[in-house]
Amino acid sequence: MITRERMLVAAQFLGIVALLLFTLWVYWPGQYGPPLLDDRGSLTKLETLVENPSRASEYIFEDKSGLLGRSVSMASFVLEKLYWDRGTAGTKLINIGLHLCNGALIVWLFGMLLCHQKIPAYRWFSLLGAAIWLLSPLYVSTVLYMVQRMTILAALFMLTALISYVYWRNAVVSRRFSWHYLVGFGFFAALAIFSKENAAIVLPVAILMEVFWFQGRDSEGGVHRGLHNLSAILLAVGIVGAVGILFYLSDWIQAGYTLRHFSLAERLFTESRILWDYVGQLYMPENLRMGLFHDDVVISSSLFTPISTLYSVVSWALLGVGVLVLCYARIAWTLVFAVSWFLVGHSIESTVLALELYFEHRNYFPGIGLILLLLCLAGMLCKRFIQLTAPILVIFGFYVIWLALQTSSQVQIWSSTPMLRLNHVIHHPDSARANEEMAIQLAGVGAISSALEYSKKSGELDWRERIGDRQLRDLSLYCLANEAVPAQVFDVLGQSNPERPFAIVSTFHGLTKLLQGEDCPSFDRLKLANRLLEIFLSDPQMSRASSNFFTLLASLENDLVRYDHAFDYIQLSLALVPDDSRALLMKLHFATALGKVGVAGEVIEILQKKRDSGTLSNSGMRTLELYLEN
Amino acid sequence: MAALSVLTFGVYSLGFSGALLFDDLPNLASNSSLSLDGTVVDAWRVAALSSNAGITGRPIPMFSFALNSVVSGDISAYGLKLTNTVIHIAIAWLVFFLSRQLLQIDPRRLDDSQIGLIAFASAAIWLLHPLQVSTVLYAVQRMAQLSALFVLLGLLVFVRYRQQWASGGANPGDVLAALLWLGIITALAVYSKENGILLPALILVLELIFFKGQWAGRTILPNKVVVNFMLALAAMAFIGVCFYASDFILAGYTIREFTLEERVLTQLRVLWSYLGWFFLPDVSAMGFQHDDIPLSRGFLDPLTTLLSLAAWLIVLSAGYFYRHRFPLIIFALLFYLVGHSMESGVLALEMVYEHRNYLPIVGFCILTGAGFVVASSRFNINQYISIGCVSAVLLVLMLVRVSAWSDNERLSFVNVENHPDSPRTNFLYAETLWQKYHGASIGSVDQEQSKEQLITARYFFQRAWELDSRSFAALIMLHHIDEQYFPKLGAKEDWLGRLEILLSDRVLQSSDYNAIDSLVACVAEGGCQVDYGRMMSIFEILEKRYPRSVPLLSSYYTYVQASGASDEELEKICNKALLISPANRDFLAKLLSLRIRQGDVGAMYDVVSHWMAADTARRDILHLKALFST
Repeated sequence: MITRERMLVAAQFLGIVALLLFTLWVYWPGQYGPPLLDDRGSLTKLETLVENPSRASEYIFEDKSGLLGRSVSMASFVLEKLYWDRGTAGTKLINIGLHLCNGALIVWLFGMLLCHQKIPAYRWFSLLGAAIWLLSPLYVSTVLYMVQRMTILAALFMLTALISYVYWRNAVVSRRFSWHYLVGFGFFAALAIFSKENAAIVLPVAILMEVFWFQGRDSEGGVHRGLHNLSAILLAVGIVGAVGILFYLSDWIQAGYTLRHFSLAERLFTESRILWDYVGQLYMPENLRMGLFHDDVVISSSLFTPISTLYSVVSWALLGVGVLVLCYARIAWTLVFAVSWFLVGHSIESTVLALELYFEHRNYFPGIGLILLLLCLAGMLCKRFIQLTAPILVIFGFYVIWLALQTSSQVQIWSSTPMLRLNHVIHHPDSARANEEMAIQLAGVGAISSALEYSKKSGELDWRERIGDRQLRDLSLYCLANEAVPAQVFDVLGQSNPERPFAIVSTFHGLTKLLQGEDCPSFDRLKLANRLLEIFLSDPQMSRASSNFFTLLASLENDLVRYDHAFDYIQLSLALVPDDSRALLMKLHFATALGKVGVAGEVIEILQKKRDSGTLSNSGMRTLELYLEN
Repeated sequence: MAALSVLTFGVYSLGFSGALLFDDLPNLASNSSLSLDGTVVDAWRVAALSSNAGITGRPIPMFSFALNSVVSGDISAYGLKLTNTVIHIAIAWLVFFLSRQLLQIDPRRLDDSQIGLIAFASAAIWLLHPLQVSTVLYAVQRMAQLSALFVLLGLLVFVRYRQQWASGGANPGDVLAALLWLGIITALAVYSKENGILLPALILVLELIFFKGQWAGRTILPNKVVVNFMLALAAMAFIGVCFYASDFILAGYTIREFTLEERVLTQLRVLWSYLGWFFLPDVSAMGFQHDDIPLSRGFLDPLTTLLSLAAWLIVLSAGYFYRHRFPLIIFALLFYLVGHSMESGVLALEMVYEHRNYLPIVGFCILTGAGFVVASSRFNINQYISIGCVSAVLLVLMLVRVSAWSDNERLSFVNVENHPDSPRTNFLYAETLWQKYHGASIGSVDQEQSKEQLITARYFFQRAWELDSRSFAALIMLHHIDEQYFPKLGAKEDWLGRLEILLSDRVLQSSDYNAIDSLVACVAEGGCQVDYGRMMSIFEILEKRYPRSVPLLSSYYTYVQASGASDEELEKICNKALLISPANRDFLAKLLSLRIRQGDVGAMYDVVSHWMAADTARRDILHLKALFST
């Protein structure tokens, strides 16, 4: 005989399948969207993998992103490239698939959490909670931004780790200690951290879950003293440890701000506002202003400027007091956990580290806490008044539909390059990046004069950018539009700030990449190279540019087969960073080409030493081997 | 009830072959967003938001129209009318359940079999009444249908909860659950059509008449006081809204040829007319248009205005006086008046439409049903036979009307037969014949018959003008026909001259804009000979009177474009229109076409950017996206 419980399980299973299929349907057009920003830098290098699969391990283990290298994420990209290469669409489809997996994991986790609290209809609440998360428009910019696979994978393993933890602690409170769940927790946590390092927060989230959600209790309410005390001790140690780490790393943290146009205090003030904005965007999304570019966010220069900073800080303070009161009164600790999940989730990227201020993908994992908060409130209400369960579920259902419709329009925007760029610049007119992207879009369709206007505006908005940088970008735009560059553009190039005319290496990098391709055959590369020669080599000074910039100049000259100038540039680059393997290899190449045998020998010696000390990359070693063989 | 439903469906199915009419055309037939294949989620969202009707845009019926379109492959009258019939039957079931629940509130009055019989009779009268045909077979009136469906569902939910509370009281959970359900249903009703907002007011009517503040088996005075207080509050809210929204309400009258006072006074009579049609369903009095009803200019002009007011006061007083003995009388009256309070009150809507009675007559259906059952019992007539007879009569009358509605020409003809003094009915009949003539002249099957149709069409256009000498549309059509087919008559009657006289003081209505459009189209196609200077002087007069009218600018644009105006001139008109209405899709599309023609890609992007910025609901997103993919 089919029991009611079995029917419920079957119905929930069908519900999950329907939800995942519906989410897939909503996201489906998103696969046709373009590669964006960091996608180009991080993923285009994988193009060579197909011809040279032996470099796979190099890409996986020598990735420079983040502190730990994000090897798991890179492995996923490498495997995709090798075995399922469907281009951008394929990468985005995999992201969508992983997002669906995360949704299923959330149903699982929420189900266990809500069941422990004996919330009525917890299966349906967990399903709808996951639906809210899966279909929130705030996550479109994570799911459809290829390189954010790192964030998605980290969330996937964090969720798996938390589920393992819940199984482990349930076994412990039932006096059935289980090593394999604990090992599972550690294993998945490690995978999460090697997907993206800020997954380290999974440990505090697990501790907070035990302290505030489970409170060391079993399903009948009995307290497991050991687990209860252990979690409390770990929480205390964690707090002390976090404070200690902050003190220990204070110099390093401060050093990060030398590259930013805001101070530590300004970041903290601004983040207090941004966090509220994230909350608003998750619960009541305004999808018009959602997107990739939030570099137009107004920086809080003090507690009162803008005045919303004061309101935000006071609101957080009041929330903190509220949390303390709840803790002290020992009521509604589940709410404390949900809020903590969100705040701890943001503790790495939205606090003291000198990262950029605003990114929507930062909410991918922390947002689960906010949804859990909704479920907690609804669950508490339903526990008190069981009659409210059905209407609240219906309201949640309508809320999910509303979010899904917002997401579907957002996905449409993200499925078209011009629409996405237009949307960004319309709703973020003061974003330098949005204006720059619009300039690229317009140049790509041949509208050079409009493109130059956006480029100018972008330059005015970017605090880092010098006139020279804009001039270089304009040259890229001429190339993209395949328009002849007016002579005066070359003449004035680098005239401003002669002591250091260019500040942003990536702009010049973009130009050199374009020139290496076949996008603009009519571009006068020689004229550009000669003008740069005048700027940098008429009176060579190391302070005129960064090491990377000199390397790019050398690369440009290399393309023109002017090895003597390339050699001079690489000398300047090495004068700034003598240990740079890539520059050393380039110097070896130029010296060999110029017949400077002695110099080449010296460089080989240095590179061999580097190889012996293990500081030379695999590709570097392979290149060196070629010279040694000859 | 099931047999009656099948029978009703069968009769209504005879009308499925009828055409789409009047408001169906802009909302459904010409709505490109409803042409979808259903494979893209966002296309559903766009379709649901594609109506400009009402404040909410009525997304629920629009979604249902989209569903029809996907199922049928396009917007077909057949599928739409079939669905409307199904909805009509579903509502009849709600009427059945509601009346049964209401009559069970005081079971001392009637026994169970009588209650069942009255409920059946009420539902049968409502379902079969010929007055409903113009709602069910007028596709766009699904908006009114769905709103009525949700309102009745809400009332049913209220009655079910309230019955329990009246006998056994309620805890806060029950009350909160009921409030949540009613909130959800009210929202659904409002998003179907705005008069769904009357649900709370109708609940008050039920509370006042049937429950009278009963709680836990006792009549508690404070509850009565609360009800009275709430009624007073509702009245105050109504007056408050009138004052608060007085500007909005009065602004509506700027496009009408009657004043607020005239409308309110006329409605006193119109409400009696509706009741007359309900109690004495004379199908010859019913029709699609009722613009032959004379306006009430004052209480004594015509005298029936004063009599109507007096009659309302008398019946309401009588209802109040007999509220304990015959509660259904005051219930029917209040339900009717509250149900009509939005569309037959102060808002500057057209005077008479039959579909406005769709919900308000429910009370009278219950009253009449009860009247028949009780009277049959009193006079020892078999109750089944008496109800059967009433149903049979209504069924025959319904069949007569459905038959008229099954063919557009027949409907127009019947309407003109029944309402010979209605200018709009004459015009619509003439227009039907004119369109038929146009269709036939292509194939030229029977020249003589076609010629006769043309002459008849002209006759009825002239008749429409004779009945309303201020009819723009009739003058334009007469000018068109005489110029093109009867030039000798045209020389005798200067229709355009009459139009020019009207221009100085005629309050332009939406039908007038359509008429101007058709004049422009006729001139542009060369069908009507109007010299350039004369047309320009018409536009000058119109511009002076309506300097901010975008529809007039649109007609002007069409005219000057056809006259060979330069791109600069056309651009100027577009810019002027967009200054008045920045989100106007028509002019954005015109400007975009100009840019595309000019080949100015940068400027094209500017227009799209403007369009996307103005389109905050992203209703045109798919259209714009398609633009980039072509």
